[in-house]
Amino acid sequence: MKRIFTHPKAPATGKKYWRSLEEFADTPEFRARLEREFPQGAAELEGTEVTRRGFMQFMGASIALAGLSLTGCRRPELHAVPYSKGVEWQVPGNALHYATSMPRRGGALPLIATTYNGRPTKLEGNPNVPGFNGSTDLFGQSAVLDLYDPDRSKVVLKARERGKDYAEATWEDFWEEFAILKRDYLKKGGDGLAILAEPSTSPTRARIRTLLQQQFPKLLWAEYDPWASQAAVQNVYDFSKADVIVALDCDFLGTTDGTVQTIAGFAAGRRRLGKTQETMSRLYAIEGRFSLTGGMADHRLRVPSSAIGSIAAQLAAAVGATGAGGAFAISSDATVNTWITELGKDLANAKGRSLVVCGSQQPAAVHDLVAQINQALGNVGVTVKPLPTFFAPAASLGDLSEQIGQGTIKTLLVLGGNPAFNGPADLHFSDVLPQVEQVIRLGLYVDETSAASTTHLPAAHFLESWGDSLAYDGTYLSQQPLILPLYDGMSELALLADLAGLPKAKGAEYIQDTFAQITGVATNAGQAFDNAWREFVHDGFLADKTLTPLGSSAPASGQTATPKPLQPGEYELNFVLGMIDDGRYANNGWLQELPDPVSKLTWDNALYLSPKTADALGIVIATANSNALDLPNTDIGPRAATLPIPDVDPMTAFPMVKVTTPDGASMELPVLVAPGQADQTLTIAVGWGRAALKLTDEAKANLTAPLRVADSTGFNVYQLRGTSTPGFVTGVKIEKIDKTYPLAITQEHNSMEGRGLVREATLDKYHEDPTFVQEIGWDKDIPQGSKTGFQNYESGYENPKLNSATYQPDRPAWGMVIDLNTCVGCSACVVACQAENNIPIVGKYQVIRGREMHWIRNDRYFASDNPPASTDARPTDSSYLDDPQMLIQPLACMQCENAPCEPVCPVNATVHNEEGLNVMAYNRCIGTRYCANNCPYKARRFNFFNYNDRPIQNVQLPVLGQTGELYLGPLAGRDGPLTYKGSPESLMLQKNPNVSVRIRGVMEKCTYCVQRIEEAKITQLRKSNESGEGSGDITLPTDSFKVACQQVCPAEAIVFGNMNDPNSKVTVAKADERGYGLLAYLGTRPRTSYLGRVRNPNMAMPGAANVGHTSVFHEDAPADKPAGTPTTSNGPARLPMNGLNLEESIG
Amino acid sequence: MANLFPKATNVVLLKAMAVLAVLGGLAPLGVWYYFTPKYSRVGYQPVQPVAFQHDLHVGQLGLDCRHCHSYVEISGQSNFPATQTCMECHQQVQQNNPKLQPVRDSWTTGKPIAWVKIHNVPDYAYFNHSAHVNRGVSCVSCHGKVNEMSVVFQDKSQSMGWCLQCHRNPEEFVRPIAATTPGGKSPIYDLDWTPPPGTSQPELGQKLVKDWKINPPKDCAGCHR
Repeated sequence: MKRIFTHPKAPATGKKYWRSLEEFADTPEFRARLEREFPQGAAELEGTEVTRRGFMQFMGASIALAGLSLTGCRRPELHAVPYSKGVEWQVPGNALHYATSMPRRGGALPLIATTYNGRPTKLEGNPNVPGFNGSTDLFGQSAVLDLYDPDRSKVVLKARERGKDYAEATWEDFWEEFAILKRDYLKKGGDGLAILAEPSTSPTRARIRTLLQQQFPKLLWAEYDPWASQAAVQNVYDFSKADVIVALDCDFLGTTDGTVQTIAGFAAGRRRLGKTQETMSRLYAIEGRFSLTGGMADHRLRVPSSAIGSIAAQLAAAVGATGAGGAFAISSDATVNTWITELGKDLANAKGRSLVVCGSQQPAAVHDLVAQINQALGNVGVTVKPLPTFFAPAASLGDLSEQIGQGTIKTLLVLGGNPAFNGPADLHFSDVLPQVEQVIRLGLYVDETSAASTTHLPAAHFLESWGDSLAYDGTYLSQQPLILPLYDGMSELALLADLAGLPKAKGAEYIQDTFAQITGVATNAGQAFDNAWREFVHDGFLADKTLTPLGSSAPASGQTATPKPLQPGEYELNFVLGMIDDGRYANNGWLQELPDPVSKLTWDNALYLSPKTADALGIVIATANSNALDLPNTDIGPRAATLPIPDVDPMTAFPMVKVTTPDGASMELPVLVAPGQADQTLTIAVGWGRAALKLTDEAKANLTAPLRVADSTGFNVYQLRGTSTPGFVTGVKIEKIDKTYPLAITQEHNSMEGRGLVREATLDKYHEDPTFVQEIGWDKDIPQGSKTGFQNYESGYENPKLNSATYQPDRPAWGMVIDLNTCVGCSACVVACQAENNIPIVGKYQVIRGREMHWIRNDRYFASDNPPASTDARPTDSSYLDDPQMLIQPLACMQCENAPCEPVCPVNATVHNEEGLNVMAYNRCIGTRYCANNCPYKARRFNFFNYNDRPIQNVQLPVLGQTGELYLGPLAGRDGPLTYKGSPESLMLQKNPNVSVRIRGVMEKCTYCVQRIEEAKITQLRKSNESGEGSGDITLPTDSFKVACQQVCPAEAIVFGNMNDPNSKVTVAKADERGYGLLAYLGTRPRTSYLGRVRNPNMAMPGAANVGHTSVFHEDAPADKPAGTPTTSNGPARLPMNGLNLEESIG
Repeated sequence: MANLFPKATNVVLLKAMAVLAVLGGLAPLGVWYYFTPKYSRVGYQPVQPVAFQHDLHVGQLGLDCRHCHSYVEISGQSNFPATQTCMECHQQVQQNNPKLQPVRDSWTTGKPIAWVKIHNVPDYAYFNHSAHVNRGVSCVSCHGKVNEMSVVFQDKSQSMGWCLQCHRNPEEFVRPIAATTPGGKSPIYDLDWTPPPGTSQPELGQKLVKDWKINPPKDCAGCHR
């Protein structure tokens, strides 16, 4: 007997929601995926990498070795090792929290670090710093993994031959040489000495730089960051006060500077949608690629990035801004013109309540224009505040290169950054560097720049060093070390201070001096200074000292260079930041494996093309026939070249193209057809294609750690990016070549069946019918009772029965609400969950097999008009794919009250508790995977291998003589076949001690951070005995703790709490009329529910009728009735009363 | 009639018997190993690097448990004392006792003493001391009468079934936290405590369970995360 549930069919007309081109076309391959628990290949061992015979040989060897020793039969003697002297504040088993900050481009991110026994395990936002909501972003979350990265540089290296042969040196050697160097340059006034640093917002660095320039007047100080803004001033935006927002090629919800604050502000503007003030902000996005900002936009115009300038000029004219710099060609496109006219009107109606923002890589002239538009609209000082220039200007990388070319630079200090990798292509900086006699490089990794240096010094991570910085809005933040340098690194400040002749600091002396200058409390003021300083370090920020924003007198760049408009037949190549920033986080496995929020690509970068462009190039959008694998040997490194790509899903083989820039540089790149991409526009993320310094002498390989995670991932497109074209380059040629490349894309993994998964409506529709979500899907068919909607299914589960008399109302009932209206899809929750719950990374080829382990995923849906049933809408017919809208839905375990996973577990490893959690007892799981098979949300993840103990690197199989990404078990080794055990020790330090590290063969999933729930309860129990009588209150305070995904969310889109507490935020959110349960008609009674998305279209805009207009509304008597749905004789299709008693058929 | 069974079937029975004999022989070994206290570790009494006598320090001198295990009320882990704690007294008392040499060595070198762990909860079980001692569970319930042990040994099996005995019937074990006699010790840390005359443990326990709303977790997530 097999129970089959037939999901309702989608209506034949109206809007269609789809995740991938295959789903849009409803290919048989996609249908097969939907019906599977995991993608094809996930459940098989390793494809063709290992034969069954080979596996048996290998296992036989393991068993034989295990039998050699019987020590495993007795438990080992364990030791408890206390301190010899107690450490201040340290209580074994309890966490300590410290305020610190993460230096970032454009401004630092305030953080609270959690440490256990001196090891930082998790970073959270600092809730006391205004404007940050106590949240972080994905880079803030993943920084703790960088700290423990075993591939960080560990020793001082001195070159015998640059890039080839290095010898290990000691710090003492270095300081000795450095002292001589310093003396010589002091005599010469710094003539021939140059420093190349990354731009920084540290006031201490600025102070030391001034000292340096006093002592070395001829010193050349240059700064370079590949993604520094082209704007003349740094603006601080307040999105929460803006009613009309226009984003010009600006992904302010994704990858610009200060995203935490911009997302928080934007979400506040969206959250104004409510009963008291039923309005919300309206977002217009004009951009080339489909970004998260475009996905949140109410109106989106796809244009090449090179056209943004002329659009800004048109807009400036429309709103009456004067003095527009640069001569921009004006578009002749009628749609664009109407668009701009209507946009101008809408902006003019919202003077002082609007905001126009511009992408950081647009030419300076465009930034000037946008500043004038904001000025004309009266937004300056309200929604946009230009910050004064706090830091002295520095020479550019180009200036430095020129000086080097003239031979005037004899010694160059390169502090951080990686200019040899990410320098502009036209400077050829990796070739320029070796012309300098002496290059001293301070870096976290032995990387491309180290390969061109004479001395490499290991740098300290920001969690290992003292520092200070300004936040994006100018707030002064402290930065304190959480741990002594793990790898003997030194901070940039220490090196500069030594050069400036300051005495060596024992602690925070350099910072204290700056702090004294800023606050005016002298360091020798005794107690007064101590108190002020302690407060600063404790709080993490200075409450009343921020930079005062400039008024309307912000300077303009005065530049007039404008891009040439794109000619027909020409292409524009557009550079964006991906999940690893500019490449600096390339060795961070969490970020490499984090799917791009829009394309869902992991571990690589690829060229995005619009469907129409792809069609024009003759690229067939991936079909089942494109499995001809021809792996090029040069571009993707040794791994893929030697690794036989097993018989996996052919959809992972992607065609490649050759891209040639007007400068003649060319690259072969894999392409991905991206719906919503502007035509003639090619977009690619930078930062991939990293390479560690490889020494010719193999015996010294231990001196330089390979970048094992970044190795052979993606392509270095900095080779195509010039000084004058940081954001985009026009006049690019592209041709299809006869090669393919495997890409790991998760967009179809864990796809759910069913309708009404994401629900949206327009603001007007919402005003008309606030309960619009009930009209979508089958929610109207859910039996009506005393409660509304999906809560009406009787909880059919007995363990315990949650809505019956056995349920104890004084116990908490945990629930979660995710607001689709404020979630922007930034994916910080995915990394936060990974950090909190010890979730391993699995590697590219495991992702291809669908074995990624993320407990929370962001499903990205495109929405477009449904093609008429008569059309054979293969994806090549691009008319339906060109301009879709986007919706993002974060999805983790729903904690169903009638959980389908529970009855099928043969060992009771997944059961319900009294608080409504669907808990996992990992040690009980035997890995039948029945539960995952039965989960309609596909929220469960299976450890196909012992991922936590698995070597990161590819290894030679000791028995089989193959190379591959095969899990080798604890006996596997890279130091030798039998010596190396599992994960590098440093990575173990990051693990959260409150969560089990799961091993092979265990199913896992989200449990609402049950460790945080239990900790909160135990804390309350402890408090109840404060009197020593044990009779205190044990009720948990309202919203006293947050789960990891909720805590990180800058948009506050995730609300978690006790539904039995009438005052909790979740109770309020659950009562919202926009609430709906995912697949609620199945009767699962999910504890996580969603709030429907509301879009705010301007009805005067072209195409406004399609925005947010959902037509998958409930139909009482569907013409195309789902087969097998029980019906009454005359009435409409109705669902069975009990969700578990579904349609039965013999299977 | 053709042979219904091939010739090889003749030896099947023999083979089966041989296998059974081997298994039958191994079974007692299994029982001998796994069913004895040595496996469940009751009575496990390793030799410690320092021959610390609980019976002397607690039983005779009357030190409170919390003097050394100082964080038991505020942390999940009950800490082992730092060498510093030992030296508080032993800088004056028993200064030259050779048995204390490892303690003095640790104090001078800063190298910690590696005590042998007796009670070992598996990594996947998250036991929290503070949740228990603050809710009326005495040390003695899990560790036995340590105040009478010269060399500490494991007194209770500390298996999951053993934990659940109390989680299902807390009234049989919970004690008042405040002293029941004037000037007395807290019953939690008084390992020799008995219910005051006129009351019984079940009676007292039921009252405490009701008053303090004691409802120990019986689901997996209470201990497994």
